[in-house]
Amino acid sequence: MPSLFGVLDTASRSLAVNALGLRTASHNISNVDTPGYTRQRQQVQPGAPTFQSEGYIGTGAEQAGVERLRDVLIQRQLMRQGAVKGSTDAQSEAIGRIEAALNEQDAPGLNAALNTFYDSLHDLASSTAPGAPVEREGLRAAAGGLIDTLGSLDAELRSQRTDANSGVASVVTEINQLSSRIAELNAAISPAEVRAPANDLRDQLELALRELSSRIDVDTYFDASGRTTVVMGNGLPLVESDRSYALDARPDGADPLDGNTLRVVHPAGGGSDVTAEIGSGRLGGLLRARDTTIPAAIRALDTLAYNLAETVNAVHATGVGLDGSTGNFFATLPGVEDAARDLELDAAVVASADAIAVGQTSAPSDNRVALAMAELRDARSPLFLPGDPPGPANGPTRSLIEHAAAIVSDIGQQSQSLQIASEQHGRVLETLESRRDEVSGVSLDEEATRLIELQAAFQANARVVSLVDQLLEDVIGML
Amino acid sequence: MRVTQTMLFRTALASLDQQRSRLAKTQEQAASGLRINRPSDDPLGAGASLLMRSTDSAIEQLQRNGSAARSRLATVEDTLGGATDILLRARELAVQGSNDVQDAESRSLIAREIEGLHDAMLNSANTRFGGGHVFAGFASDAPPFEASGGFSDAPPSAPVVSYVGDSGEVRVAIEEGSSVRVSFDGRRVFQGDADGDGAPDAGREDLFDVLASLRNALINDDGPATSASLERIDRGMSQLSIERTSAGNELSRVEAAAERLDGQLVRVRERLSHVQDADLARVVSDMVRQETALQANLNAMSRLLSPTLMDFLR
Repeated sequence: MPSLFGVLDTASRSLAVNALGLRTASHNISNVDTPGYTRQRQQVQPGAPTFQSEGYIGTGAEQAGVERLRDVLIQRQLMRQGAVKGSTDAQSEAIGRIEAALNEQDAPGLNAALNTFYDSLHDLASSTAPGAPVEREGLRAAAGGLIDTLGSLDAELRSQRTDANSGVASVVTEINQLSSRIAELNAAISPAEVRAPANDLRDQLELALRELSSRIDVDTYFDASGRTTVVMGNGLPLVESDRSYALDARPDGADPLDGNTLRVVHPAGGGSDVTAEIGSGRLGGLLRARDTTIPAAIRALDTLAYNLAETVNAVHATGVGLDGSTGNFFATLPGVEDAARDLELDAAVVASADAIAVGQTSAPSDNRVALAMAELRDARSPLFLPGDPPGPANGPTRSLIEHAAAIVSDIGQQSQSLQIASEQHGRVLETLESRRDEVSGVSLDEEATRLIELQAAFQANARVVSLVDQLLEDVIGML
Repeated sequence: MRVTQTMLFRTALASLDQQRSRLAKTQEQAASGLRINRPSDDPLGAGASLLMRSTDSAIEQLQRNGSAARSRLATVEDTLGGATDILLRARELAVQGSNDVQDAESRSLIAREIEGLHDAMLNSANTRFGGGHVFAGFASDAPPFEASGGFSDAPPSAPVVSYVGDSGEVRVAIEEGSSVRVSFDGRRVFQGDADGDGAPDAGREDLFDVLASLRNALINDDGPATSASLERIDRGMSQLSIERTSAGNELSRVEAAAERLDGQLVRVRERLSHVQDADLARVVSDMVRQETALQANLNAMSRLLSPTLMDFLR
């Protein structure tokens, strides 16, 4: 005959299951705002029945485990999208700053300085005073202003490049921290999961992987024991079970723009340079900005500066200064590279404004050379591009004012498409995150319902215990 | 679909962000009055507006050039007008001097006035504008005509005027690709010597020599010689009028160019405004609309985010 104590046993076991359910619900509620948290659900199953002569008798409920509710595909999509967005954002920030430096909608800049320079050549040519002493000074000042504008734009772009470079260093540090965190989590998860899924550790691991992939594009695999292997786009590993490989940012003395440019080096094979193989993620975006976008803008300024010096000098050298001297207006530049930084007036022009060749003779009203220089404003000629001299100019046929406008237009175009891309990637990421929340997020309504449910179950089980107590009292009273 | 707390917050925040950034953009346009506030707002428009601003600046410069050329050419015209008046007066005096009623005494009085006209002609030829001598070619820093010697009566002689300027042609750019001549070769204008061989060309006169020989004829009391100089004076006057016409031609080219530049400037500014300026009426109505939408969203959020079942549990 079944004993009343058996019923007590069943009820008390069920009470424990209810309490555990309350714990899971309370765990969910406390983590409603925890980043990366995946909601958990108590799995309950009927206890193993005991066989007695009357048949199988139930032994109440027991907890089978706690499961994480998640969509496995979303983690991968989130990682991939995070990498793309990280890259786009880094590039968009960089180009936004270039754009701000070149923006002339609110304050005069390069275009205005160029125009002032050509205007002052005109003033010099149409001066009525013999020798045009005032206009000579005016031209020197305007040329000085143009040189300063080019120089400060160049310096601004170079400092942006330096910033991107130090960004590379700090992102590499973050990547290394995340890699070693993932390795630590791998090491913790694998022994823990001998008994049951380590839900909360898995959450942390997934969060760390998403953070890692927003910085560098990675792929993940699970090995036989459930540990996560993280490899870079080119197949080199960042994390293998409980071991992480730290990337190194090493200065590259051979870089033409800056000897402090950092190369990203993976420890494999005693150090292999992977800089060129990092496609996306914040690191990829920073590298693209540092090695492509910003240098291209610097080269465009250099092109402007070099061609300015070339065209003006070519005309200036055909003339004679008021002091009878002949020579260049701008100091000769060795090549297009670094022209924006190195552009300066010829030493003779710096020493005396009378060295400016206004005419083909030193006669005080001979203005033929100044006129020819002023005509350069609208003159279109093939531009010398970086790497061109020695050799003929091979670039597009443009006036320098058109070239300056094209620089701004081009940067604006890039900035616009990156902004659009960044917004778009943001929206996709947002959709994916909402999708993840839909499956894995904590709903307070749901948890409240669950609390009510568990409360009722707990009360019912407690009733059973008190009922058995009464029954036992009745039995004992019979004695 | 399961709706969770984080989802609600995330969606609400994202839409707020979007609305706020749109509103910020509209406000920026309202504040600056510009549709393009940075190149990425409209890359092509930004490039085009820079080119138009350059054109604007170039046109303004050409206008400044034009007005400098205009005053210089006006000076030349005035001077040549003055020189013509001198010759006219000399012609009157020559007619008077060639009359047989004149005697040596009265002719020498006339000769004194001619001497004054000779000086005046020299002054005209050495006219300055803005510090430079307009008839000196490129050598504008010194008077182009120098007189050596003075007037003497026995034997009659007059100062010899020689040209020390050059034949340089000062030009001023008045439109893209075109320029006007603002200097006049003094040797050609006043001495009829365009080829620079030191003697007047065929059909031309050295005005100083015309006045000097008239004066000497009067001193010599030589009626026929005096009347012979009338023909030379007439030739001199037509020579001046040719030069004056040519100055006038240059001047009218400047005027025509100035008119065209004015028109161009208006058109460029119109186009520039069209490309870069914000349509304020539209910006303001956009702003009001976006503000209302933001307000509505905030209201909706405050209702949506607060209640959960937790609020009703006791």
